[in-house]
Amino acid sequence: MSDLKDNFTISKAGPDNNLKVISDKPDTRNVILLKSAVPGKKYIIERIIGGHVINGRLNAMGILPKEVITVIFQTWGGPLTIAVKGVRIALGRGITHKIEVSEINDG
Amino acid sequence: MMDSDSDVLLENGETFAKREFSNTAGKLRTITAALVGSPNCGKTTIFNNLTGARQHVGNYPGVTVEQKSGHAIFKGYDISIIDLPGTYSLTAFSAEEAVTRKHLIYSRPDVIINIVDASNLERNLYLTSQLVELGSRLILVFNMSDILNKSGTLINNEVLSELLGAPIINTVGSKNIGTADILSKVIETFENTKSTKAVRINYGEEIEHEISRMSDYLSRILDFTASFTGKYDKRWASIKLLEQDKEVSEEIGLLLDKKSTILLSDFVKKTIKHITGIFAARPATVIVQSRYGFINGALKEATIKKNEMVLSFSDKLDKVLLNRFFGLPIFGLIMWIIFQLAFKVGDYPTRWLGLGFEKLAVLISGIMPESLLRSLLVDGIIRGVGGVLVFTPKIAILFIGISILEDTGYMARAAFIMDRIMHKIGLHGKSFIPMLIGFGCTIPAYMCCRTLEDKNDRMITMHINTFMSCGGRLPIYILFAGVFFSKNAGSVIFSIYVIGIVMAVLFAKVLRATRFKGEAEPFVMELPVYRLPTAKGVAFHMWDRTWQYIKKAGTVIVAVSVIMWILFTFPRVGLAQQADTSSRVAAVTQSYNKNEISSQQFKDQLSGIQTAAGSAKLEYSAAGRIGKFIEPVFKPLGFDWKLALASIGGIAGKEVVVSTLGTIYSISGSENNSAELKNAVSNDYNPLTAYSFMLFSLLYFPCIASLAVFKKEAGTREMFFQIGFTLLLAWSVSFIVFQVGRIFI
Repeated sequence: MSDLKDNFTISKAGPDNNLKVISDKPDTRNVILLKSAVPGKKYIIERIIGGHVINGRLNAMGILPKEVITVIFQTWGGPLTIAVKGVRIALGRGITHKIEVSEINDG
Repeated sequence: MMDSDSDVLLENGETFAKREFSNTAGKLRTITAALVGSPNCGKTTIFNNLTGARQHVGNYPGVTVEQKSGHAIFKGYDISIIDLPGTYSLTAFSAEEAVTRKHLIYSRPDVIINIVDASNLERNLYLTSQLVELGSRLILVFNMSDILNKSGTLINNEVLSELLGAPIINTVGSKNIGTADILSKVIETFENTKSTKAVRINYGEEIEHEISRMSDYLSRILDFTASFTGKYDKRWASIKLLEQDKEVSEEIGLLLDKKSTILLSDFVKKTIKHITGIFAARPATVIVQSRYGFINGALKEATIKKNEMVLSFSDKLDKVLLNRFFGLPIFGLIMWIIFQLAFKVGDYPTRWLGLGFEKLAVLISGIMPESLLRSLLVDGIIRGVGGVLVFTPKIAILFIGISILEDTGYMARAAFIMDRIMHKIGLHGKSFIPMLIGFGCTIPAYMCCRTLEDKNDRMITMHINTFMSCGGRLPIYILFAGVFFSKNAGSVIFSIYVIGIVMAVLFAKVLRATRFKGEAEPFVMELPVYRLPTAKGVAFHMWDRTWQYIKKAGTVIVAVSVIMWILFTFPRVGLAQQADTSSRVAAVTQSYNKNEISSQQFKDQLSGIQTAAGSAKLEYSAAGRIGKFIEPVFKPLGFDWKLALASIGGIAGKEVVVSTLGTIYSISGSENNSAELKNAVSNDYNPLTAYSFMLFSLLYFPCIASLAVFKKEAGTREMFFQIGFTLLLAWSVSFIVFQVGRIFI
């Protein structure tokens, strides 16, 4: 619950909150923040919270909604590396709080 | 697919460029080409192959911070090639992207050469999809195609080329394979008068509908044949407006009156809202997804056989190097080893060079009769420039270390490791890379700050980069630490570097809290696959940077040395004083000859007279007077007028500090027994003064050239701020260290 509150303040503080991204309709998927993701597991990106500049930068690197990513490894407190479109990308602690993902069950 | 009318593959671009030149000199047709590519795609290597230049290549983003251009003379054409900064997209989110896009749109190169990392087509072709939209003549260069082949994936280039609307050439940049093919294709594409089949990315019914509505709107209010708008078409402008591209909307705003601008902005806002309503995502995201969709589709169709790339080795290595406990200590250890190597191993060649210059000075003193010219050569140039050149081996080793870190791909990891710490000081890991480069030279470090997207991040990183001790300051530490802390010199120098880092951290916080408020940009960075650096590559980069150092010694430092020598030599002491010295020498010699004093007493008295005469000569000179004049300012720091003067000389370049001291002592030293700089320094100062002086040299702005770059990158106001605050800080820190130290010593 506190996460949701966080998100709200983040998007409100963003450069263009009049263009707030509306997330996918809530469904049965278990949506978590990327910072809590487990290394070795695959996730699908649900949405990226934040202004359009940060969205644009992430998008250009292949990080965008509906994209499947694998969490490679995590240091503590949030920073982690992910595999997306065949490359490894390091995400700092701030940004892992702004990406919502849901786990993919391969089975 | 591959053009085969030139199957000449020579050693490097330079050789065949020269050969071609001799045949066709005089009537060359010119083509302009621009190299574009994502970071880490090997673009700079290709540029070097094409132009024969030796640009620096690094396995991390932001190496190409400036537009570099070169020429290739090929088959009667003079192809001028511009290497643009690496970018992931053309949406202008960072300074580099803006540079690249502006060049492509406003300078309109004849041909765009898009370098693509073939081992990672999907992500790299994203940029391609945006280049395709520009509608320019485009060539795709699939670099590192050997890695793709090794992975077992097979791509039908012909099909892919058809789908992307651009020819494809396979190259292996590191082995210089395919260089001539690129040049042939550039000429062929340039001469092909048939307009290329325009490939249009389909953004789906709804978006396409809005694009055409927007295009109609734009063509009603704008003239797309005019000089400014004519650079891009209305479809492209419409897409950019939907993507909320700030630059394009500002540019269009310039062409409109206030009312139309507001109307257009309303129209765009409404459209964006409408699309957001349909897709539950802003149009920018939908457009990006469509571009990736376009690429995926093309790749699917063109892929004959696919094999997942396994990055297990890289990942395993990362598990150790990025480990939450070991990552930072490993990084610290690596840096410590590099410094130890530079100072311990580099000490031998440095000593040999020192001996060489000493021999040269003695030789010239022996050949030439005593004259002003001899003094200029020996005291001015050899002592001045030699004093700087002797440190070349140490600096070269340091550069080898940094080059290896860059080429292996470790540098990006270092940035990641440092992100946590950098975050605490209000910056992010990316700021760490310019700071690391700053250990080599502050000038490229300032330029590398362009990779930082946020202006506040950039300004803070530039201001604190001064405290990253550059190679030019190293000779000062080596001299003073070597003389006063001989056994612990390595550790003392290390401590200076650490203090620099601490200052950087402190001022990052202060600047963030005062002048550049706001949050640090989040850290997002590609971690390139680890590569084994080639000896050739590392040698090139090391040489490239070391050569800059040597060149500086040969130009700026020679000039400053001569100026300093003039200031130190004129005005000369009066004849009466010279005669006085001679008569005193004669008197001592006489008493020695009469056996009134022992040989030891004679030597002591003689050198006493000569030193006194030397000092008098110096203090009489213009430089001596200047030094005396400013001495009071530096006195509280423990500096005498010589150190004060050396610090002022250091504004031209910190290497000058040592060369100035060399000149001072060479002139004041007795004529036939030129005291070595080290001995002279050890006589005049103590460890406390030495440390205070090293700190002062560390903290004030690096050099005049760096200030020029600072002004270019950050503006005049920031440059003056930089000068003021570093001088004040340097003075205060040295003052505290000296005054507090005095209590204990």
